[in-house]
Amino acid sequence: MAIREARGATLAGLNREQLREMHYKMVLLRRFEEKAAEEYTLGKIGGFLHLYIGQEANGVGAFSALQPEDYVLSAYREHGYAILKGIEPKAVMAELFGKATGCSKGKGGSMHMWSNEHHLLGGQAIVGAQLVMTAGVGFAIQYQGEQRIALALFGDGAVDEGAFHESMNLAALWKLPVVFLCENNQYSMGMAVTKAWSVPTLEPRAAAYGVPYRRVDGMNLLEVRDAVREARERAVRGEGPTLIESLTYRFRGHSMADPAYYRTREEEKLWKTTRDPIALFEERLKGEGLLTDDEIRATNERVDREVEEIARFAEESPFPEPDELYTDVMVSGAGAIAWRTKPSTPKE
Amino acid sequence: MRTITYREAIREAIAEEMRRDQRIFILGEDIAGYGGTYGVTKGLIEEFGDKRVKDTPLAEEVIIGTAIGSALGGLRPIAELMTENFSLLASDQIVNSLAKFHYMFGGQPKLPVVIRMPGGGGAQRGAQHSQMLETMFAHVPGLRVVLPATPYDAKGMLKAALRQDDPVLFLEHELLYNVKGEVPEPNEEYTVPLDRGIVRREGRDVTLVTFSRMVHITMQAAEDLAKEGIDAEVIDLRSVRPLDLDLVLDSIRKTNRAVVAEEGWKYYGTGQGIAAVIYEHGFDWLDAPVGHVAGKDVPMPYSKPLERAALPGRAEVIAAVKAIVPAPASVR
Amino acid sequence: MHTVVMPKLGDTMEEGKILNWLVKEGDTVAKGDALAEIETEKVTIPVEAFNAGVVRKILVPNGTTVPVGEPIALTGTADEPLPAEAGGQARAEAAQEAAPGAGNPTELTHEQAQAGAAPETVLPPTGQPLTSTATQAAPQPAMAGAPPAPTGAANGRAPQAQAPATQPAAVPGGERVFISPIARRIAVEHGLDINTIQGTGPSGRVIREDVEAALAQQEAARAAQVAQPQPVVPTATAAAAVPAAQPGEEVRAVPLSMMRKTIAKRLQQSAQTAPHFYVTMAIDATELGELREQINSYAATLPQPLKISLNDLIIKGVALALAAMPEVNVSFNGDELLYKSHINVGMAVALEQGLIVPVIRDADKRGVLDIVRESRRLAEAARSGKLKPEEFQGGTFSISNLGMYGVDEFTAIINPPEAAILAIGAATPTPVVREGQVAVRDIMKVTLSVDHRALDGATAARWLQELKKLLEQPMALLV
Repeated sequence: MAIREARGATLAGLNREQLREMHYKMVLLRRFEEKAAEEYTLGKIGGFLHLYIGQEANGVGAFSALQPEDYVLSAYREHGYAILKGIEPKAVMAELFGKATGCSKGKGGSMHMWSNEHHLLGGQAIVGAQLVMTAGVGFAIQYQGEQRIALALFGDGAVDEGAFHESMNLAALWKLPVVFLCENNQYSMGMAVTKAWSVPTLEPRAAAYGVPYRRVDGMNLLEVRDAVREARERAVRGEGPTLIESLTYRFRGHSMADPAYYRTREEEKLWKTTRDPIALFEERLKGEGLLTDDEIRATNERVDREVEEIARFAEESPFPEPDELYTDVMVSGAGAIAWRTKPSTPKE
Repeated sequence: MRTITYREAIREAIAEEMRRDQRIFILGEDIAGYGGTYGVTKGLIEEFGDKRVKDTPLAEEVIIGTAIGSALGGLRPIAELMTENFSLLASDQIVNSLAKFHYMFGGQPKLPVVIRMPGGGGAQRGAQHSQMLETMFAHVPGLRVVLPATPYDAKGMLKAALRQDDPVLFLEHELLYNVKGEVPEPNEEYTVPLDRGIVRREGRDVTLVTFSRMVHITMQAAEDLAKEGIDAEVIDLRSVRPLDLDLVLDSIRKTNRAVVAEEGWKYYGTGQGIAAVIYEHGFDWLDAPVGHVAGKDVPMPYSKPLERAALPGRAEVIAAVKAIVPAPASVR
Repeated sequence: MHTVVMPKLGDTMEEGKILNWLVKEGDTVAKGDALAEIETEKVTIPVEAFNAGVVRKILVPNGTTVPVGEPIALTGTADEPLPAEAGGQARAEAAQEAAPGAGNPTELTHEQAQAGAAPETVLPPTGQPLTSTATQAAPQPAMAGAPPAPTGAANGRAPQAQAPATQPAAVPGGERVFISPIARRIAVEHGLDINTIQGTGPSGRVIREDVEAALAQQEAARAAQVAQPQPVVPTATAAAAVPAAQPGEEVRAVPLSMMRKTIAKRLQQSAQTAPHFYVTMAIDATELGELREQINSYAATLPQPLKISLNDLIIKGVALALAAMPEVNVSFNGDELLYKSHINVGMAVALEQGLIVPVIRDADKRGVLDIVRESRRLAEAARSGKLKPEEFQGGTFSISNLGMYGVDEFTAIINPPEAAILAIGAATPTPVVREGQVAVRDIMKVTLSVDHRALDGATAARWLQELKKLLEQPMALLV
């Protein structure tokens, strides 16, 4: 691993400030998700809720290697990505609550966050769908000669979809400025990768398309960051895509309704107690003399307060007005019938 | 006005719009060197180069995904699917992404994507290459689905599609490519609205509602009916989503009778949908049930006589009209 | 004190069963610890502690199923006092606390349901409690002629034996008439009995042309009967006092068309609320008729030839008279008079199914030929049923002309909210004394019906003088 050892007050080329910010973000993501889980049990959040708890080092590490103008496309376990890309956490929680102040105006929900301003191009609830679109965003970047990339985040289930193969082939063929980051949390819902994959890692799949491949410890923030930084540079240089496989683990079930029968409690406990990315990062920073227990406590308290405020905002926000039902179906406002006699309205 | 083919009209629209707007590019299978399976894109590679005329691998999902992603990145793509039948391989992207993003993400993303695809039967291409699938897409909120029947409309509607921000599925019937029609000179700018039908023939006894290649067959039927004293009005819808329903209802208020004629399958489809909205909004004006001429309820057979039997023809339109229009002597 | 509730763990979960408490009262738990195992309709899953603390009270024992949102335990610090009665009462209080969380109003907790949180019984406006008979009335109105609902119907279950009472009565002589929608529409508008029409469409369906043929036949029959004496029509007051039809009387009930209903409603309102008085004046229309001839000889040479009627000239005259006396162009509106800034003259058009009053807007500002064109267009639209609402609304004064039927004079009912209407009779050659000589002139009697709330007799008379002047020296109409 190419982590540069700390010299003085830096680690991996990051100063104390940057490192503490990363720590804060991991804590924020976790508390946010815990709060979301609680609100879900109280009926404030409906539908599905897929939590990111356990995988925080991937998002925080990867996004710390991006530039603000870079695009991100992802799947349905994406509250953390939305926050990391710059959307106000309040707008993310409000979206979970289905409120008008949500980042998709309450029409998307847990799986569908978006921000034009921050170039977060959605969460997709169709496994692998973001991959083909990432190729397209990469093409637009290339076509317009821009110095930015498109990052696709996906799970170990998506690589079994045809979309993964079509996208890898086209991105490699056209040398598109994209990065494919697979967060392999080892279960696609309840299906273990060992039961779903014909090969043990993604390396041969990357090789099939001549795409550079790198495997990282997804519980190690700095390792993920380094891999994405390197892949981003290659993409911007015009050398095409990279496939990163990040080994990680989700500490919770697939969604709130999942008791995770398909794995043992021992396995979960082992990961939680020995491989918690936040604890690992805290130990690392403390060992380097870059973070103290007092600072950790202060960060936890700050995040607790912030998350309460975030939840209060979501709770107090209004639901969308009834006439929102028919807005934004089409840019033009068109509906199924183009009435001549009635005012232009998409209503039937 | 000069006379050109439907194929040439589409090619002109693409070239003119690509000259006008650098954000427009075209991608698809065999569109560059080969010139398009139906020859529509012939010559574009010479003028616009391989940056803007992109041959793709045979991978429909990523073709449409790339079109969508490129629109999100600021471009205005034209995606050509070799045939409508292959759109099923990309239907996830069309239905789950293209149609939904603007709404699902609170009005933020715009997807000015035009997907062109030839379809339809009549050339003995068999069950997997002869389908009319507009019904599948017209069912989905968030899409425009247009099927121009003439070179004039093909050019004008494609240009209009490339100048607005809604996703457009542009369905070209394979047997229309050689159809000739009057089109203004290249220097005469014009567009045709994407949500307006047109009365192709005025009449007072019955309203024939149709689109795509069936417009031509229906017009022939109307001429035959005129010789027997039945005066049919023919409406070419041009777009099935949105539907220019007022045009249809205005005509029915005059004729009190309607027949919907389409090439696609009969049940649960566009034609039945149109009949249903006629009943819903025009019931009190009807003097007879809405007639319906459609493709037979079978996969398209290859053998010529069987294929001919599977496709709706002039005689069926005439029969459907006569089933609901009183004999001419009593009409007068 | 924190209340642990039965968690919602899945979008369709409504209740959960406590399989097994994993903690007991007095245990200390950390955030994230499993408190109990619950069973939902799909899975068995632990209940997670969202707050660290001591388990103070377990409210729901093992094996019990409770709805989502129901309190199941209390956690807090070790020394924190428990609510007064952490059994029933505490559960109820905790339920109150937790209730706002249940966004779905159908998700009532047991306590809420038992405490009568269901919608309150709505009392009648008098505020009197419902009597027991009222509350036990059958949920649906009893059918006429049906036996009284037995008490068993009070619980919403109709006794089997009574079922025949709810079946539709057999239609007398009645087979279903197959008729097309447009044919039915036209038949209803004309009050035509569809049972009498012979259908010629597919399968004998009555189609549009069948109805039109029947109407033409009816019209011919009516014309033939016109000379026959009409039955005496009872006056309105008498009609109200006696039944519309006597037992045994042979009648044919035809439902009112929408237009008939509207006419009935509006004119009844006018007659009942606007105190009418009537002023009649004879107008010498001889020169008006001559002017009409002159205009007609010119209008016939137009690219689109026109034929002008006396009525067109009268419309113009009425408009100019209103312009000269704006106090007549008004509406009575409670405690104020509304002066209309436009002069919009309505003209009653007789239709087969009733009557409608299309409006010629700004008639004072239109030339005579323009009025002709507009009145023809409106009359045509009215007869073909294509009049738009804005074409028969917004009138400020109406005229009704029965001169073409040879009517000498009559009175009309004001078209609300206007303040007056002019009823015009036929211009009839009449011997009159003019400059000491008897001359035969075309005399036309007009009667102004006036809303006395808005206008008085003298005003009405002066306005008729103004009109008379305009129509008797009609060149002014062309200016």
